[in-house]
Amino acid sequence: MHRLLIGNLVLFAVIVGAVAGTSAAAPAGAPGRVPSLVDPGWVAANLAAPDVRLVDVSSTRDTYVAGHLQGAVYVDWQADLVDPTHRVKGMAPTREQFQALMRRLGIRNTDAVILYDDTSSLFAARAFWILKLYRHPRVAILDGGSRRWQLEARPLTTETPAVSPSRYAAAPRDDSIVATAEYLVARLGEGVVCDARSPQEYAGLDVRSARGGRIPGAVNIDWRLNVTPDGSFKPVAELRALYARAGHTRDREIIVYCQTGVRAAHNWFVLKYLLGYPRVRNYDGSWEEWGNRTDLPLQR
Amino acid sequence: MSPVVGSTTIRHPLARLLGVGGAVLVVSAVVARLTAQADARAATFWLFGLAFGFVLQRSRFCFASAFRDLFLFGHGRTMRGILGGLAVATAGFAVLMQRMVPDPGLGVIAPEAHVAPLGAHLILGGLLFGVGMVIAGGCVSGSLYRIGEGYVASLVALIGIMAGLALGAHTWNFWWRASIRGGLVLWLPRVGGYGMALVVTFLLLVGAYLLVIWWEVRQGFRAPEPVPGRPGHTFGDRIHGALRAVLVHGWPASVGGVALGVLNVFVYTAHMPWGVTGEVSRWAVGLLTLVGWDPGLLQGAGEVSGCALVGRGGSLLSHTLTLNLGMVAGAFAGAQMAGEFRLRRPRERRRYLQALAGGVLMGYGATLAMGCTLGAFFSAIPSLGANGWVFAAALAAGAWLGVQVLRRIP
Repeated sequence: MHRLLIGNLVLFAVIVGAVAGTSAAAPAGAPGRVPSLVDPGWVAANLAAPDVRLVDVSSTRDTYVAGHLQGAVYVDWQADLVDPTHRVKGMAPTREQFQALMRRLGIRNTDAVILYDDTSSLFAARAFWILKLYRHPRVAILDGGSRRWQLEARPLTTETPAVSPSRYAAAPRDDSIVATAEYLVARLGEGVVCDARSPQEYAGLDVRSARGGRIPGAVNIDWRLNVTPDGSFKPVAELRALYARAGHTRDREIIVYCQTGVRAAHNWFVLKYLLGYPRVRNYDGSWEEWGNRTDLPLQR
Repeated sequence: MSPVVGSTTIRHPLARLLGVGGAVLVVSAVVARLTAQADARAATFWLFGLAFGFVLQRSRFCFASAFRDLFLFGHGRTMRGILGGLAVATAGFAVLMQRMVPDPGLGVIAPEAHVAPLGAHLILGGLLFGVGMVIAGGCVSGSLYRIGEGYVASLVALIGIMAGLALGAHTWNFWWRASIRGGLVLWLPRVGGYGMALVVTFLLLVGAYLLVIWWEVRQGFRAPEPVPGRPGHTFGDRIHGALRAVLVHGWPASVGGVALGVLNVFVYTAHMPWGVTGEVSRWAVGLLTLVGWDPGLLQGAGEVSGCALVGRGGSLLSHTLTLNLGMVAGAFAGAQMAGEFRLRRPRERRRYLQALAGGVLMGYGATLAMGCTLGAFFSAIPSLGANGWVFAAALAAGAWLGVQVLRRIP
């Protein structure tokens, strides 16, 4: 009975959080809110707060073991952030799988989750998208990740934090930020289809599915164009000019994809959270699904 | 030179083709087996290496002599072949690059295209390389294919090149900070689209071709009449004649140049344009590390495209290794089929010193220019980068200087 009450309270908090998340226009520094992109100074100042949880989404576990930010837990992007039962490789975890992960990591619905990695925020952006898919209200990416953190001579630790499982309750999926193949097919030629892969994959010269090529009409913006050589996001004005040149404007619906939806999440984060575009979706199946299905049209 | 020894020409070229071809197949199978785990591209690039080496050997395609002969003998036979190859590769590269980067104004340069920063480093690199290749009597690719033909001095030149690259690695960070990092990266399609870039490049190639013809006329060079082939009648005569034309007689430089241009488009389609120096620098840095003279972190070398220095790391059995070794093997196979292979030591000891010194100059020049006559020239002009033309001009000036030096060597 008591447990049920707490569960309901948590659920209530989630709903309140989700509503607050959609209505407020990301005021940096407002009480209880975190900006979507934080710098090392912000993280250093908030590291000790009990409701701030750091999550290391580095490329390999070895990177985490070698040294990570104080209190950070590790999430394996290849094992923890996918649905292993899905027929398409690399799809987002189900609500149950996601809830189990958050519970295992000891993350509560009210916590602010700060994500970082060693790969120019590639995996952090994928984790960000998944947290938003299940409507977690307070999420941010540490700009520049562990690389910039170290460049600023900030400390790392090899201590693994002791974590007690939480009672996290995952909200239903936010279908407004995800696209399916059927959704895309019905809208081909309408909005913008943004291809976050390399120019070689875009041209069908580097083939990673049964078929090589791109979704008809797709525009190529390699995710690596979002970042500077040191791995931080480029200034917003520069990103806005880049995407505008390629026809991405805020009045259009934009669907991003790549091979498995990881690199696409990076472009999605830029469009939705740095540029503030309202209608941006990540096609989670991406080329892993599109290129392996023979009933879908492609362009080369 | 390498006269065709009488006894070896008696054997039917078909017999040689089968013998050498069979050996090449066996070795290729071994290479494919050895490298399968380390690098999936290695076997393909071994075949590319064989093809490049074979064409270089059959057509005696030497970039060093292309520049040198203009000034030393007043003819541009090989240079005209190079220009033909550049024209073919330019068209092919443009098609490929346009598919990968349809909008060059977006700020992306086509992946793997050899577009490098301009600056003093590029001009100095071209000058040093030009002098070095004339003194050594062959550039990096020339040395590789002559090793396959049995030239001992070319092996010495390669050692010199590695020494020059090693010196380059130890001074790279200085050049990176002083000139390379701040250099303008000028990719012609970004300025005015692919159409304009193609027009400019073809105009420059035609201009260079006319300049070569004008120079030859001024120097009194007369193009030799083509030797008429023995007309064959029977099926056997025709096959024999065709085999002799391909396997025994040397190819005209124009055929070699165009074949290399076509191969360069193929190899870029497979992965990246033709280049050899990056891999040779990997050997040099690897050896340095073995003897405890590690050059340390090479700042920015990973960011520039083309054949910039490659530091430690990566599997030894890479596709760049098989490309280079394939070139030696392809030249060896070509020489064997023509009956031209034999171990050749220079008559004078001084030639070794020349090869070594020229090699060092080339190695250091290739460090600064981020490539040799292949990476910074033969693959850079078709990449529609301005750096290819700047390097070519410096290379020509360096070759002229080298000829002056050669004339003073008794």
